[in-house]
Amino acid sequence: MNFTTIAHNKSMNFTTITRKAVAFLGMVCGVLFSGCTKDLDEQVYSFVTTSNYWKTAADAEAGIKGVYEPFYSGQYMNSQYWAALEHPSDNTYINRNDTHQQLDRWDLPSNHPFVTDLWNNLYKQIARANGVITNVPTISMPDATKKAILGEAKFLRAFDYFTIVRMWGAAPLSLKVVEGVESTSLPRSPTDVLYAQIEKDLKEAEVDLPATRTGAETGRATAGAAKTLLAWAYLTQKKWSLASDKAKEVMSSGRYSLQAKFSDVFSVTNKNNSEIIFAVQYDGTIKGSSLASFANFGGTNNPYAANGANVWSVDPKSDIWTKWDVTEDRRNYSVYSSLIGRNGNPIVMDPNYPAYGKWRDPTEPNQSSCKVNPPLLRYPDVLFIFAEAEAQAKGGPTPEAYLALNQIIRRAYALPVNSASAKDVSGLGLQAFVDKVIEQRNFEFTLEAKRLYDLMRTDKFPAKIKEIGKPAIRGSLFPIPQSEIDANDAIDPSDQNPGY
Amino acid sequence: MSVFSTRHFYRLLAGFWFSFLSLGTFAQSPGEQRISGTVTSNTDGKPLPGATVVVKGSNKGTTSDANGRFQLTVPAKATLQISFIGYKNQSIEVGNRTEMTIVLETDASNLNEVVVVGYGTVKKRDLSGSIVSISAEEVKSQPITSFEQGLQGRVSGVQVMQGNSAPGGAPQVRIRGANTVLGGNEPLYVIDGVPIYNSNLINNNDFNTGTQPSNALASINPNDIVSMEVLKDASATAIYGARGANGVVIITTRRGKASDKGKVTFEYYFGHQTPAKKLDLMNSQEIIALANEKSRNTGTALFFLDSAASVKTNTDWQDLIMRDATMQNYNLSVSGGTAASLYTVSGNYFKQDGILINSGFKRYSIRANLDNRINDRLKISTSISANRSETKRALIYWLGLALNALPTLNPYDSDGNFANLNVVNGGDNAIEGATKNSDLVTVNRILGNVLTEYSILKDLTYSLRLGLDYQNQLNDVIVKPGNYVFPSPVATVRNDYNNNYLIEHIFNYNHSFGQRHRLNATAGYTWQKNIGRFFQQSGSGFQFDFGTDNLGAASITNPNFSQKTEWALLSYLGRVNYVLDDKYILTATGRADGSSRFGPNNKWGVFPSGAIAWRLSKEKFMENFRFINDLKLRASYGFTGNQEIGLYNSISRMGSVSTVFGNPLVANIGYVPVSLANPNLKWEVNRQLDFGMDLNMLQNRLNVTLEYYRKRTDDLLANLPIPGSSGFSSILINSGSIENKGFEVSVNSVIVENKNLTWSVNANGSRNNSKVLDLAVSSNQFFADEVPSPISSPVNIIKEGEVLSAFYGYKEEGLTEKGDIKYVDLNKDGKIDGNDRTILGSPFPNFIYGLNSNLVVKDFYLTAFLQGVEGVQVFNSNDFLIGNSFVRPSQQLKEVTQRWTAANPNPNAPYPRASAIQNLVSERFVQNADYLRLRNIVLGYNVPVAKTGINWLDAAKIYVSAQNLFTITDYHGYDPEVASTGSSSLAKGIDRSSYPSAKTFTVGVNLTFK
Repeated sequence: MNFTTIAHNKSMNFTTITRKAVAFLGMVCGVLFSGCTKDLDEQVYSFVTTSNYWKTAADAEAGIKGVYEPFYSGQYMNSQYWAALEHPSDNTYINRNDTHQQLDRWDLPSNHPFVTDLWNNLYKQIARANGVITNVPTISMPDATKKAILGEAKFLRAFDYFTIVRMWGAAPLSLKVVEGVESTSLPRSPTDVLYAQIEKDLKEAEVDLPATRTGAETGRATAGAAKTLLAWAYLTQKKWSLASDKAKEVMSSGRYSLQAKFSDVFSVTNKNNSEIIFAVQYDGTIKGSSLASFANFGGTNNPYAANGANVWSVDPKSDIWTKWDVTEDRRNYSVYSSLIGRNGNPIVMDPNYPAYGKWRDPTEPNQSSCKVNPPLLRYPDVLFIFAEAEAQAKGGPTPEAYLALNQIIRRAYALPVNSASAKDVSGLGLQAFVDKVIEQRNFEFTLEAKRLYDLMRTDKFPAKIKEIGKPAIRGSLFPIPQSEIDANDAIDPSDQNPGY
Repeated sequence: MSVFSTRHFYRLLAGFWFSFLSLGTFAQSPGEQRISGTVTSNTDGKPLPGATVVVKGSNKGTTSDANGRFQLTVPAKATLQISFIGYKNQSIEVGNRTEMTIVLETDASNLNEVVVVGYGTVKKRDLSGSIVSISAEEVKSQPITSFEQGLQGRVSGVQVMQGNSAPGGAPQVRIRGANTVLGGNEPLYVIDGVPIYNSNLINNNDFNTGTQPSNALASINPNDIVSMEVLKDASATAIYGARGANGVVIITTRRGKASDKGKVTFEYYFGHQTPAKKLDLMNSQEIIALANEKSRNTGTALFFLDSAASVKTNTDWQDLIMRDATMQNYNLSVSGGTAASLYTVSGNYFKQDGILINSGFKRYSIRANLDNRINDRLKISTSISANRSETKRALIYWLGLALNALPTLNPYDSDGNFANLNVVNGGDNAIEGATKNSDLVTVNRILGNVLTEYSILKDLTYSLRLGLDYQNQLNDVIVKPGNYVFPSPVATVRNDYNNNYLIEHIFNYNHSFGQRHRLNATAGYTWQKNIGRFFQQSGSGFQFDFGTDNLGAASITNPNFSQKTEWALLSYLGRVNYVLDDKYILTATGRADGSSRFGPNNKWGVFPSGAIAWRLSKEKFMENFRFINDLKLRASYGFTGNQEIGLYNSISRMGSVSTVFGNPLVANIGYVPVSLANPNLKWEVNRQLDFGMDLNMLQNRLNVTLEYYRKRTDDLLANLPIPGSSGFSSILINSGSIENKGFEVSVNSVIVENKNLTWSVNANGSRNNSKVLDLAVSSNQFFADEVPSPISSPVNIIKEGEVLSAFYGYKEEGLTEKGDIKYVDLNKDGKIDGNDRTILGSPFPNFIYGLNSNLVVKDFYLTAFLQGVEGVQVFNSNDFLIGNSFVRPSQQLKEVTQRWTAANPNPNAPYPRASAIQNLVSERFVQNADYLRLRNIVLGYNVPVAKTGINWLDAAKIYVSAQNLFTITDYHGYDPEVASTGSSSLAKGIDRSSYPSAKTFTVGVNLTFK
C-alpha cells in the first residue's frame, strides 16, 4: 500500500494530507531533539556545590557562621555536652533514663550515643573550621574582616580540640579539608601535639580577633575569649605563670566585670552581659535548648521551665548539696529541694532528687525552647584561673589571688565585690587555697560542665565518684566511640582508652 | 502456631480440584474452479492481510494480500479452511461461488488476549516474559480507595501491605520481595503510558511524625481502570531499564468503543464501616487493683488512694476514639463514538469517613479519553484526568494515647467540656487532642498524555507521546491544641508542586515473513524530566483560630522553607520479539538509561534481557494430548536497575544552616559542606532468572501458571560509615547485595459451566525467600530506625544472612521466682546485655496467597475472595504499654489479670508481676501475624432488563457485599496487616497504634442506560 492509494481510497485531497503530514513531521522534529544530554548534568537550585563556594566575602562570612552551627546540631549544646560533662562528676544524679544513667554511673559502653554524637559534632565543627582556614585566605576581601574570620575559626577549632584532649586524651588531629572518601582515617595524635595546636591556634586568634562584638555580631568570638581559653589550656597543663599572665591580661583589659547579683548572670533578659566572655546563643525560637526543662522539677507546674522533667537531679551525697552554705544566694539560685509551683502551692519533691534551678526560662513555650545562653567562658573563669595559677606560680596565695577569689565569694552573697566582707577567705596555705578555689569553682560553675575537668586535672577522677558510691568501672577518660574505631583504618580496637 | 498453614492452603486447593473433577463436565471439542475472496474481521469490517486459506484435505493454499484478497483454484465441492492469528478458524463450503467474503470472528480464548507490555502490546500466546493481567472486574469487585489495593491477593508474587487501614492510606507494594535497603522499593507505575514512581511528596516516612502515610496514587479514580498488568521478570521489565528492578505495574484506562453508541453508565455504592476488632482491656476495678499491687510490690505510695469500689468512672476510650463510619462512591461515565472518533468521559466522587474520629478521605476525579483517527495513517489518542483528593489524616498519636488512657479517667468534665487530664496524670486528653488537632493532605493532580500514531509503512508505525503529570500536594497541619505540655497551637502549611514531563518517540515494526516467521520490533527514545518545588510556612500565637488560613496573624513566625529539585532521564530502548512456527518465541530487550541522579563517572546504564519460550503444545508429539490447548515453557534472564537513589547524592554540597547572633538575637545563615562527592554513584543492579510454565487445558477451563525466579540486587545504595573524625559520618556508595528467590503458582479454573450455572475459582500462591547477602558496613549488620519511646531502641536489624529488617531482641524462658521476666543469657556470660539478642522473626511473609470463587446462577452471582499470608511476625509495640503489668501507668489488656502474683506464683504466667522493671525488646512482642481473611464477599443480581421491559436500560446490577467479614489470626492487636512506618523506613512490621481496620457492609447498584 502506498501513499496515493490511501488518498484515492479515502477520496481525500492529496495536498491536504501532504500538508498535514508535513505539519506533523515538523512537530516531530521539533520535539525529537528537545531532550538532550545536558539534562543529565544535575542542576542544583536550593544549595550550592563545594566547587562554587568560597568566592566572595559573603561566602567567608556565611562560612564562619556555619562553623558555629554544630553547637545546635542534634542535641549537642541543647543537652548532650552538659550531660556528658556533668553526669560523670560527683554532682549529678540520674534516677531514670538509662542513657543518662550510664554516664552518671560511669559504666558507659563505647558506643554511648551522647559520647558518639559529641565526638562527631566536635569534629564536624573542626572540619568546617578547617574549610574556613583553608579557603578564606584566597578570597579577596578587607584584611581586618578576613583576619577576624580566620581568628574565629581558629578559636572554635581550639575550643574543640581542648574539649577533645580532655575527654579522650590522644585523638586524631585533622587540619585539612576532606575532599572524598580517601584519607579520612587519621591516627590518634598524642596529647602534647594536640595542646601545641590548641596553643598555636589561640595565640593567632587572640591577635586576629576583635576585642568586642556589638550589634549584629553580638555572641561571636572575641580576643578575650581566645585569651581566656588559652589561659585555661595553660592551667590544665599546669603552665602556671603562663596561665596567670594570660588571665591577668584579660583582667586588666577592663572589658569584663562581675554582675552584682548571681541571678543576673543567667537572666534571659540580660543576655551577653558584662560577665559573659563566650556563650552559646539561644533565642528560644530559632534555636532553643532543653536545659531548663531537663534540670527543673515539677512538670508544667514548675515556674522556671515549660516542663520541669527533672531528667538531671542533684546527687544528695554531693558536695554541692552537703557542703554548700544554705544561706548563700548563689546556692539557692543553683539548687533546690522545695519550690512554689505556678499554681501557688508548694511542689512536693522527693528529698532524694533535689533539682537544679540554674537554668530558668519562665516564659518558654515548650521544653526545647529554653532561651538561656549557657556560658562556656565567663569572667569568674578568668578570676579563678588567675587565683589558682598565681598561687601555684608564686608558691602560695598572693593578695591579688585572694582578691580574685574573694570577689567571687562576695558576689555569691550579693555583697559589693570590691569591699572586704566577713565571707572572705584568708590565711590559707597553697594547697588549702587551691582546694578552696576548686571548691568555689564547683559552687560557682554548678551545671556549667567544668567540675569533671577539675576532677580530671587534679587526678581525682574517677576515684572521687567511687567514694560517693558510683560503680565507676571505666578509666579516667571517655571511650573513643566504637563507630570511629570501626570506620577508622588508622585506629585499632587495641588503641581504645583503658577501661572499655 | 498458625491456625492456617501452608499445608492447609494446598489441601484447600486440592479440595477445589476434587470438586472440579466430580462436578466438571469434560466437554471436548473440534474440479477445477477459480475462486477469489476477501477475508475481513468481524470487529471493524477491515480486511485481514496474511490470513491462511487452505483447501481442506489438500496441501493447496494461499494467504490473503494486503487488502485481505486471495485467489485460489479449487476442486469441485471443496471446503476452505481459513485461519488467522487471533481469530477463530472457519470452514466454508465453496459450493458454486466464485467470489466470497469471509468474516472471521475474533477468538475470545485467552491465548489471543492482547497483553499490554512496556511500550506496546503482545498476544498472550507470543509472550515470553512473566506478566499477569488483572481485569477491571477483579479490581472493582470490592470497594477500594486506590488501585494498588486491587492487586492484593490477585497476582502471585505481588505483596500488598495495606498496612494502614486509614482512608486514603498508602499501601506498600512489593513485587517478588524487597530488593533494596536504602533505595526505593515501590514498583514503577505506568499510567496510560506515563511512568510514575509513587514518591509521596508530603513527609510521611515514619512513626515519629505520628501521622498516617498519605497516598498520592489514591487521587486516581480506580473506576476508570480497564486492566492492570504486572510485569515481574527481567524480560518484561528490562524495557524500563533503571526503573524496572522493583517490577512494573501498567495501568490502562477505559477507552470508548464504537459499539458503545453513547453508553451511559452509573455506578454507586454505599458502605457502612465498623471497627473490625476492639481490644479487651481492663475495667477500672481491675486497673486499680493492678496499680496498687505494683505500689505494694515496689514499696511506694499507693497509686490509687480511692478504694476501687468508690471509683465510678469506667471510660471505654476505644469507643470514644473509634466510630462507625460511612463511605459512598458515585461514578458516571459516557462512552461511544464513531470509527473515526471515540470517547469516554467519566466523573467520580468518593467519600470515606474513617473509623477513627477526625479522619477521612474524599476524591473528585474527571477523565476524558479520546481517540481520533485523522486519516488512515494518523491517529491521535488523548488521555487526560484531573483529580483532587483530600485526606484527613488520622493523628494516630492520639489513638495510642487513648489506648493507654486509664478507664478511671473521664475525658469530659461535669459541664461536658474536655477535661484537663494533665493535672491528674500529667498526660493529654486523647479525645480532645484527636478532635482539635488536624492534618489535611490535599492532592490536585492532572495526569495526561497525547499519543500520536503514524503508519509510515503497512508494518511500521511511529508514535509520539507527550505526557504530563502535574501534582500539587498541600498539607495543612494544626498541632497542639489540647496538649498541655505544648499548649500553644502551631499552624503549618506545606505546598509541594511536582511537574513531570514526558516525551517518547517509539517505532514499532510488526511483520510476518511467510508462514513461519513473525517479527515484532520496537525501538525508541524517551525523555522525562521532573521539577519539584515545595514551600512551607508555619506560625503560632494566634488571637483568633485562623489555623493555616491566615499565617500573617501569627505572633510567632517560624522559619520558612522552600526547595526546588530537578531530575531527568534520557533513554534509548529496543525490543525484538521473534516467533518461529508459532512455536518458538525469542525476545531480546534492552534499554540504556542516562539519569541525572547518577555520578558523572556513571551517567549511563545499560540493561539487557533475553527470553525464550517454547509452545510445546504445537509439537507433533503433543497431538495425542488433545485436552491440552496450550502449553508453554519459558525462561528469561536479564538486568534491570533501581534509580531511586535520591537526588543530588553524587555531588559535594554546601547546604544552608542557621545560627543566631546579635542583640537582639536574629537568625544568621551559614553555609557548610553537607556531603562528600561520589562521582561513581550509580543505579542498583538487579539480575533476575525466571523459569515459567503456562498450561491451558480443557478448552481454557483450566489455566495453570508455575514460576520460579531468583533475583539478586548488587551495588546496593549504602551509607558507608566513615570516621567521625573526618567531620562526616558516611558517604553514599554502591555496595552490598540482597537476594530474593521464590516460587509462584496460579490456577484459574472454570469448574462448572452450563446455561444456568457457572462456577469459577482462581487461586494463587507465592513463596518468597529473601536474604541480605552483603552489606557495606564492616560489622555486617546495622539497625533500623529506633522505635520511639517507651521502646527507644531499634527492633529491626539489617544483617547479612537474614531477611531484610528481621526482628532482633531477647529470648525469654518463663518467669523468675520473683515473677519477673527471665531473659535467656544466650552467650552464657552471666549477664543479660545487648550481646544476648538474636533474630526473632521476619516482618515479611514467606508465603502469600489469594483465592477467588465466582459462582453465577442464572441472574445471581456470588463472589468470595479470600486472602492470606504466612510466615510473618509483627512487633506489637502497643503491648509494650498495654501488656507490661503496669510498669508504666498505662491501661492494660484484660489478659494481664493472669499475671504472676504472690497468691498465684505461676512460673509460666503470660505476664510478669506488677513491678517497675522495664521490658526489653523480647520475643513476647514479636507475635505471629499469619492470617487468612475473607476480604470480600459479594452477592449480586443482574436485573434481566430485557425481560422486564424497561426499554431505557441496557443493563442493571444490584449487589450487597461485605469486606473483612472475618480474619483468622493469632495476632492479638487490631490487625495483623500493619505497617506503622512508611515505605522508606527500614523499621518494618511494627504495630504502633496503627489505624485499626474496619469491617464494611456495602450495597451498590450499576446501571447502564441505552
